[in-house]
Amino acid sequence: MKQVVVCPDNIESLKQIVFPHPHDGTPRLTLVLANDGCLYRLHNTRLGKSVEATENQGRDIYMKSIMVSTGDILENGSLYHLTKYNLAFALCSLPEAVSQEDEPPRYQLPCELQSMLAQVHGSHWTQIPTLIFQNALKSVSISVDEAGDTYYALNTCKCIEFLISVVDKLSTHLPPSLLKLIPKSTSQNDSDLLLNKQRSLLLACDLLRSELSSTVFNLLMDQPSIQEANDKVKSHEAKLLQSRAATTSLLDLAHPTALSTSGNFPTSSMSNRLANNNSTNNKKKTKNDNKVKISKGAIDNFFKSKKKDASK
Amino acid sequence: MSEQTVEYNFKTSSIENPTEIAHLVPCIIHFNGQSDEIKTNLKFDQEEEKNHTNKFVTYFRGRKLIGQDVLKLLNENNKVKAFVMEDTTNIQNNKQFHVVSTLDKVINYEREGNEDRLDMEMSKLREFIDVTNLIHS
Repeated sequence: MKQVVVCPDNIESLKQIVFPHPHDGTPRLTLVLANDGCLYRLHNTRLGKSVEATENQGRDIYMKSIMVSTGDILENGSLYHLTKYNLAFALCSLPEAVSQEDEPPRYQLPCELQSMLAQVHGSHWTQIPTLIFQNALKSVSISVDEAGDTYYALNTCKCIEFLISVVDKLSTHLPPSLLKLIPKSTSQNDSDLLLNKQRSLLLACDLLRSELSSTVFNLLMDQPSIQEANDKVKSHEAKLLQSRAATTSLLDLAHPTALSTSGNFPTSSMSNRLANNNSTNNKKKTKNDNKVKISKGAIDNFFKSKKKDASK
Repeated sequence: MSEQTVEYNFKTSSIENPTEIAHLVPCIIHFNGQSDEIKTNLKFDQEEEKNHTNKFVTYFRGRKLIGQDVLKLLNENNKVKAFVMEDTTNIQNNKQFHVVSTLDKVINYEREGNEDRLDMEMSKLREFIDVTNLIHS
């Protein structure tokens, strides 16, 4: 089967390693090890998602095929491309990284740890070069140096520390489509600026959701700084909702019989009332329309009522 | 049974300056294989392209298509190259992808009037790559 692959210019060969996805554990996280010694993630991007067909058929439908100028036709319009992958995210999501709160840390050499992970979780861990594994390990584990060797132990605090550093970095570089979700404060009020900062922090956390297991993600969300941001944003939104409800009820009181023709903006309750009135009027009209005229023609009253028949 | 390995080999013997183009047309073609039609069709309308900056204009089955180069978008951060690759499976059940042709452009098309959708799709792809690079940098 032919496919279109886009890769960095310096790469000459790739070896595929399939990892379980941290989010649900299914083997669909396709990593590739390049000849330049870097680890990449292979993305299968499909363009041309049809919204209508997807809604109708209940599954994603993509309306793109590829025609190559050499004459090749590829029914599947998938575009395979690479982005760098930090193995620390896979390490963070391991149960070993979060289930050793009370236990004393078990320090191991990177190769020992790697073979232990291979035994417990699968052989994909041994396919990772030790250098890449060790670099990822540094950011999510505690270490001790002994007799010239460095021993590592996965640590929950270090994992969270690493994730918070990523969240901080992301929150200051949010993509434009997410920045649109943060309301622009007209006043340069300190509280408004802080609230927007907290909003971007929460959006940055959401961006990491698919990179982590649900246990680790929940641990991240329970961190004091993120918990505080979550509470502040939620309470602010609740206040906003309350004030909106208050203004609608005030508008209702001020214009109880307002009609849509007056040019004013009808509130939701007012518009509901108007809609109900219209529906009752329509019902009345339909009742009148259903009346059948009785006339005296040649065959009218041919079938007489039973009572009259009985009297005869 | 041993696990299947998948490898990609990008080494090419001859092609230094690729000229081939991959057209992502906005329809599903229920066919995989070779066609003689492409070489004579899907020519760019350079007069029309003057009205659409940084976009390509061509015609497919009488429909005007407007497209944008995905490689140019992916090239913004790191220099990239694109290939059409085909897999072969050997006796050990190992899959190896080798280069069939090297691509100069990968053009994503939409029908005329759907340019907004094209722009949105391309900007979303750009955002996705930026965010992924930021997370994993």
